[in-house]
Amino acid sequence: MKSESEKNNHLLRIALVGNPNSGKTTLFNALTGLNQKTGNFPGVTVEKKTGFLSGKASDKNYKIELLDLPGVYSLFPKSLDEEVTSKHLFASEPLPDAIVVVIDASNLKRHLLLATQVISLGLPTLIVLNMMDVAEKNNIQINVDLLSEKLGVKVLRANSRNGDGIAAIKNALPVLEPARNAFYPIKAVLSEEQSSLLGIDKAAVSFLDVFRVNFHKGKLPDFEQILKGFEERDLLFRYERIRKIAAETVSTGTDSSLLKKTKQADKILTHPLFGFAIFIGVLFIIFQTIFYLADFPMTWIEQAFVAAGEFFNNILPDTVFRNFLVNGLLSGLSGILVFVPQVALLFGFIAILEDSGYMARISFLSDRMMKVCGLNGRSVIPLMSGMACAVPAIMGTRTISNVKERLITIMVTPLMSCSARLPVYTLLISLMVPEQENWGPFNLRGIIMTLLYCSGALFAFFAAIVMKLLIKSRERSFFIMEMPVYRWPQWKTVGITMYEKAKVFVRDAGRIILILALIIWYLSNFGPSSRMEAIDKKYSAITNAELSGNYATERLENSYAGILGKKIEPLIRPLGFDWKIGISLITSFAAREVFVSTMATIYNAGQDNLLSTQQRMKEEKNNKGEVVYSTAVCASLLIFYLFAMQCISTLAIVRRETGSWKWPAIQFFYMTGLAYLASFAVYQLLK
Amino acid sequence: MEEGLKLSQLGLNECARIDSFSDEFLSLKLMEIGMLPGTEVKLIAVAPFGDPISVELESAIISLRKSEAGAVRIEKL
Repeated sequence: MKSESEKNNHLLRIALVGNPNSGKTTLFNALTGLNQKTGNFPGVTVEKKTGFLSGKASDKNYKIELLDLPGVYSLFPKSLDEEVTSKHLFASEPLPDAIVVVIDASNLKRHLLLATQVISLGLPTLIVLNMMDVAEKNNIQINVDLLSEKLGVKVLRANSRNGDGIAAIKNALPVLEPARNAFYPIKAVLSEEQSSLLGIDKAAVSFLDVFRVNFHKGKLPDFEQILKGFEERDLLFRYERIRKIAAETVSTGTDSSLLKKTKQADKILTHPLFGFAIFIGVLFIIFQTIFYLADFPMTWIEQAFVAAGEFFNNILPDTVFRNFLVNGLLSGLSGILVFVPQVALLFGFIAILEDSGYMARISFLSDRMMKVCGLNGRSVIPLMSGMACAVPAIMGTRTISNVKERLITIMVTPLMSCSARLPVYTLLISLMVPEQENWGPFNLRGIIMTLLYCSGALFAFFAAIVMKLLIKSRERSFFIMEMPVYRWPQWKTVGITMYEKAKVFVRDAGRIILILALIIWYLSNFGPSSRMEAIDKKYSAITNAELSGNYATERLENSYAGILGKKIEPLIRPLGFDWKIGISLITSFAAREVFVSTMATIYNAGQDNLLSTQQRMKEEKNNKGEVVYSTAVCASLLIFYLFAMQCISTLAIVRRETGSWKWPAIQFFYMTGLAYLASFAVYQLLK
Repeated sequence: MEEGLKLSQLGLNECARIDSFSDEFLSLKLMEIGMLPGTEVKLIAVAPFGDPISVELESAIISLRKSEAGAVRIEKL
């Protein structure tokens, strides 16, 4: 009886593969809905999506784990992304219980190449003819039964956009079978000599063996020679057969209307001039939305947390616990959730761009410019959204399939001036340019602000060029991609993407952000007990409201962060910074804009009161009676905030996306090093 | 037939037939995406600064860099 119940609850591991643009993601979403888990494939920054569904066959229930693998054109991998697919299909144990190949029915001939290779693996296989609606619009008729018979595996039709055929697929999944034969005899292309050289028993040699050997290339000394020409012969042999099968099973319409419409649209959308103008317009709309529209929900989240903080401040006694709850935990959580609107919105846009087919055109239009600095056409969206916030931007690099190009994009995106730098810039620029001055028709403050944003972008490109030379990759960079037909984006896909990305951010990056935020809270609230007790004692007698502000100032000065700020003073002296600035540099690791509130505390100006903070900073003199915030110091600070990696959230997300602390560490040191040198140069020149 | 013409030299809206390839890695990549010898192609778009380019095949549009198109020998139609 036990084995019976085990069978009833048997978990089937099924892999989902398909060409890029085969509607694989839409099918995955249609099959699994929100029962998805997003993670990373070990060792590579390729997104791993697993979904769960239940299937029913002959009155038994099956739990199915569906693994969504990166889109590929064949089982001979050409990039690290594609290697992931091969690895999980046939090159690692255990093999999947079954494989589902998704095919664009309107592109049958080209997409059957991958399908026939999967058939040759000899595992239980299902072929899904997806996008039947497109095929029908293009007047393509497919004899599915005959196709199934010719290929020797089950073939089902589906339109994952409206759910047609999904139920049939679910029911077919538990009872899939291997193809009756390997599509064609391997001996037609692999000589006996070759198979014996490969160390495979020549009588029993299978495609699975050869694909595996090919995958583990590096391990055989003379591999290149032994399997030379195999891939090409295999490919041509398959195409020849596919051509024959297609001739018998597919009747092509006279006119393919979607492709025709796409070509007409592309006359404008990929036009070197008009297409480029539209592209800039699209970027502008996305940027505006992330920058301004996200601001409303972000303010609500912040206000809700401030209200919660006030609530606890009122009902709880003034203890360390209350301080921890309000200033540590709640403000840390607020610092995580505040990113969610931007993350969700950016991924909403990315999903729309991908789903509609426009993303491929963005790559096409910008590849030439991006290539110069080792970036990819798809780096444009992350770089630009980095001007709102680096966190969602770095998550957005997932769409770049070349690992080196993705890594470079991740590394340079935080140099773009994000919205958290804006309050810092505003404060410092107003100190530097006290009155509204004009240079001709231009406002001087505006000019400085523009220069800062442009320098950020410029240095991001410089850094990319340097990294292009430094980061080694065995992956060859190429740009060969299919331009999919234009379609209306599917709102369900967009919604699921937004939800999943927000979830991943809160769960994976949020944890690290919270821990780091609590560390900073601890450092700036606690200090050596002897010093803290002395301050407490001094102020215990004073109830004067005016002086109670001094209490906070003194506590911060004597906290660990304060002590650290003083300790690093010799180090930052050459940049023109004193220990008070040092403290702000440390606390603003939580988020750059914390610089402003720390300044407010240090100068006892009352929380977040920008005008009085500015006033106090302006009046600040050093012991020689000179103004502290001189033009040179302000310029030096501006440059420092422009370049320095001062954002734990970004470091956390880079850690999550690259899977190791190595890259966030490199990023921290190169950006902060650049900031140090640049600030040093600026201060010494202007002093 | 013009001797040694490459896909990268094709003009906008001109048609050609793919003849052979001069780079093994690229040839495999191009063939698996559907650009087989004998396939007819038409150049339908050129990106800003002249690179990459887009070609139309029987049922798809493929874009590629000029450097990659340079590895494709063609016969002009």
